[in-house]
Amino acid sequence: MSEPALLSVRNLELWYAPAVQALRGVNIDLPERQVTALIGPSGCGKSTFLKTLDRMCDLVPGVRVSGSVRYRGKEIYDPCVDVTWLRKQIGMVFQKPTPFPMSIYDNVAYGPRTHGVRDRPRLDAVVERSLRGAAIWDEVKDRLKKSALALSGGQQQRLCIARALAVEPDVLLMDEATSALDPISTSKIEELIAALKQRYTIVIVTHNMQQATRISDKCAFFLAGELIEFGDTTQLFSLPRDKRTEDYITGRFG
Amino acid sequence: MRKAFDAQLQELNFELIGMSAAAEDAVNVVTSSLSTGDRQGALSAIELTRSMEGMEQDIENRCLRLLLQQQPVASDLRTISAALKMVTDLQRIGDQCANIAEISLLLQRQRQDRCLADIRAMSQKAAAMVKRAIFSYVNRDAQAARQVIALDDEVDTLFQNVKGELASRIADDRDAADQAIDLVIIAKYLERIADHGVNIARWAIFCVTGVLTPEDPAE
Repeated sequence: MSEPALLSVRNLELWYAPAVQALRGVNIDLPERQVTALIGPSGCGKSTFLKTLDRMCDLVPGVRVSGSVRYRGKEIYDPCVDVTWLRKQIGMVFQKPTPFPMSIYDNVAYGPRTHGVRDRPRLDAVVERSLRGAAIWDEVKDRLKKSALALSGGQQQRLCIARALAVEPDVLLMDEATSALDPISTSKIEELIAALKQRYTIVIVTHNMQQATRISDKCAFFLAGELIEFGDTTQLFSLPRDKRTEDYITGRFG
Repeated sequence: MRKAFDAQLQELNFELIGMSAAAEDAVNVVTSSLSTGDRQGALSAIELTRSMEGMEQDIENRCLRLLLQQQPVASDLRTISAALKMVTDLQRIGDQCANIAEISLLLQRQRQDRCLADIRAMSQKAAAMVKRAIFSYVNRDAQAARQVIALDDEVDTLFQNVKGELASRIADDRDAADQAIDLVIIAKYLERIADHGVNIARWAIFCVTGVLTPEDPAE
């Protein structure tokens, strides 16, 4: 029954300041090649939790983390872990599309170049494969040298996904990646997520319950920094075990 | 939003209670018309079942609108999907009452039939089952719903009695065969009405527990 956990989190606690605790004793095993959705009211810690998985939270001054996060058995908070390597394995896509002010091609080639790929034919291949993987190749293949900023919001977000795919990550983290998009762009990204989970492990933060039920296999409900419930999405949305989950998903609070 | 949604769910409860009351009335009116030979009773039972069709549409429309507008999950989804299933059972009860009424209009002779007492008992039990099943749904009372399911055995036993009695009568007295066959059909309809009561109770349990019990617990 239990799928192999790609990311295994134990007793994870996080403080933004000595008196500001954002995560409290989180234990969770995120299964490989599945979509896990993180839900909960604003300020519940779900985005903070997402950022602990690629150590983006390290960038916040004064933050303190305790507990354990193991990626493929390796403790990612071990001081000898190369954070650049970690973030190559675990890519992030943000709420608002964040294209770099450069061409479409250079946006996607940015990561591979950073990791030392200079060979032009190889870069061309990576760019095409990534743009195809993000289901945007057909829309941009004739204007790769044009500025990424000229793309629509939905296209920019798929470009950002392509940019994340270009470094061949293992895990994709998405923080409300469709909340700034219209329904058609949202639907394209959701279809993309369904296709990507064949190869990648995906963790998404979403405020959209219907989206969580549509695209995730597993769902985790956070409240006030605690993981309240984690399980199969269908189970969690049809017969939640915890009353607080039921109250949240049926709109009784939050 | 939640307040308006809760008010809509409450309306749904009222509509289901209204429709189950109509079903209960139809069962009672039609069975008493059997023994009294009251044509008017049979006709008013048919009228009642026609009004149930409008109620069915109202309930279905409300459910579909709530599914569209609220995109319900968890207990809300169970409440609405159970209502959609139960309303079909209630409508079937109406159809069966109408069928009984049609036979009742043709039954002119021998109103003083010994079997009518058993048939009357069947109808009272079946009508009570339907009513209690709907209330167990409205009150989210799985225990009360399980009791409804248990009552089905009593109706089944009465049906077997009626059937046995009428079968031997057909064998002994060819002249009485026509009426006996009609009465067996009526008893079978009542037995089916009780089964719909069981179905409604199963959905009431589903609403509370999230688990739909098998139609026959022995299976």
